[in-house]
Amino acid sequence: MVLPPVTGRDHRPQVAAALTLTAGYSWYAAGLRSFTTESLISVLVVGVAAIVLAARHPVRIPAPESLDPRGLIWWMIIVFGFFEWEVAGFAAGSHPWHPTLSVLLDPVLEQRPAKAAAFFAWMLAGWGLLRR
Amino acid sequence: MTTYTITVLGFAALAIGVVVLELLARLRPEVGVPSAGECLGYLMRTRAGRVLVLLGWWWTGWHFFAR
Repeated sequence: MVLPPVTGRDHRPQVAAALTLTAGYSWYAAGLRSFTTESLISVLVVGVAAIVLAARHPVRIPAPESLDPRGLIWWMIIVFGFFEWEVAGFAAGSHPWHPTLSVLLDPVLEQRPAKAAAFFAWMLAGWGLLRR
Repeated sequence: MTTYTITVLGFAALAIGVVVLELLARLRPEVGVPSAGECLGYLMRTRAGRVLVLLGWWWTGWHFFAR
């Protein structure tokens, strides 16, 4: 994919505005209680925004043609290890003696600043994926 | 050592593994470990891969923030 030429425009005001808006929305979403319609809508809105942004074809980072399998195997170990560890906890009923990641993070995410930071990071991760 | 502690240590080990791999990818490219972004970019080359990865991202948000 050929990237458009750099125009030399200063995008910092737009980036600052976008980050401020994202942080504000994250703070708002973090104040919503889980298992409510409002919290579901707050996440759906982000999903719809991602669809709209993806459809507008933002400038994408070129994907690698291939990956070194010797290096990739380490990521696969991590990913499968995580799924095995999580499934083991879920299959065991997520009891306190073998909790899932959700159960471990619940006390952290009950704090609004931490939940807002996590929501913000999630939205940034989504933007990073849209650029790929 | 309780099973709770073992579970937490397991998750911690995985998190540390992610950080180590990402640092290796960025600081020692000659090792040949791709970065997380490169792995995801590779998966997202096709439309189906792109949709699946983005769905997985959205599901993560729904799982941790809406329920």
